[in-house]
Amino acid sequence: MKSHDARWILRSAQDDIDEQLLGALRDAFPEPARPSGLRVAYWDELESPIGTLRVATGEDGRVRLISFWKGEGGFVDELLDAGWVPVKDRRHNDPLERQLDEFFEGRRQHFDLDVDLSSVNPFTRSVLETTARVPFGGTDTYSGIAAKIGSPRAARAVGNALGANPVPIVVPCHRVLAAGGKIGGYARGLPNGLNIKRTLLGVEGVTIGL
Amino acid sequence: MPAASASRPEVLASSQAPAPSFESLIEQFQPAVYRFLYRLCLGNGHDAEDLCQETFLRAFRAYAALPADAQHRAWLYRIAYNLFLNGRRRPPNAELTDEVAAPRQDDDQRELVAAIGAFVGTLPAKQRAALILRHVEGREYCEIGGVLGCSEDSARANVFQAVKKVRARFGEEYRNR
Repeated sequence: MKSHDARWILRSAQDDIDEQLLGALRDAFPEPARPSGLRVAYWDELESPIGTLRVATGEDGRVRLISFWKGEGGFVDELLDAGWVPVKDRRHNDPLERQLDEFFEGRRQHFDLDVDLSSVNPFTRSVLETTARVPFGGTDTYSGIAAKIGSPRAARAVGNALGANPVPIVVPCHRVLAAGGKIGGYARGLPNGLNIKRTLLGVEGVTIGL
Repeated sequence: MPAASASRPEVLASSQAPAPSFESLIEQFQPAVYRFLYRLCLGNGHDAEDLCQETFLRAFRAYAALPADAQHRAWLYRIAYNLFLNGRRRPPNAELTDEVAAPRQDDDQRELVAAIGAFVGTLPAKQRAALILRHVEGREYCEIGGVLGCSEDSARANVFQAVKKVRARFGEEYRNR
């Protein structure tokens, strides 16, 4: 046998082994057994009597974030910081936007939506769930909510928790007032926050003095 | 901060072709990025999902600065690979999960496949990634270089070294079969 024939046979055998090894390698790294989706927040904006609202809904249809005090960049940053990939999309927000429109037009007293409160701590969640039961046109107080959640001395903490409400209007933190019928705070100290609170209460027929 | 709709008007102005929306990048490449991470993580689906989510969060923040003619898949893979490098949570000798072991093979072959997978998990990360990209996903060397942040020659060398090690470790077993 000529030497180049021997080399060819050895080389051919080596290629064959490599092919088997690489086949086994491909078998060792198959496709994942199931596909994986991203955690996405679909967001959109709409005009309202209190200014531009930015809203976000998850793929599961739950409302994740509503803001009237953050610009587009700040709103998207908040979604990113919460670990959601933002995708601008109206379709997923249709039910929320329609119901908000109806609320501002005085045609809706209750929001028929699921909300995602997974980003808040248990105390805040408890405050928001209790606040969600304050009816359209009604009001409660920080101390009243505190008493209802079993922490009667936590009125200030209730105020802070309401300030962390990710879904205002739908969870109606504007219906919670200070003692003595005073308007209290709103929108994390936004300069026109109290005017917005009065506007929202006005939609519900509630008038608050200065 | 990018425009959240990710339409990137400042990039479009200097480009012939319109840049794809970020949403279209998700639709087009998310499954592939997840597959790549799943393999890099040796079949750990939870780690792969977390890394995939983080990949697209990082990508969203960086998308506005990306040249319009960028190779989007390689760019996303590179983010994914760097996150994998930064956050490797599994020990280097980790074995493949049962989920990854190839089904419907005889015991010897299945053991060998599992052993090869586990061995690849012990390779340096760059060689592991290069091997998977080249011989599992069939990527070109220039794209592998883009993912790994090295030249095409270096990508080729990493694949070569990885194959050489696999061959040295398992070639004899194949010769004896």
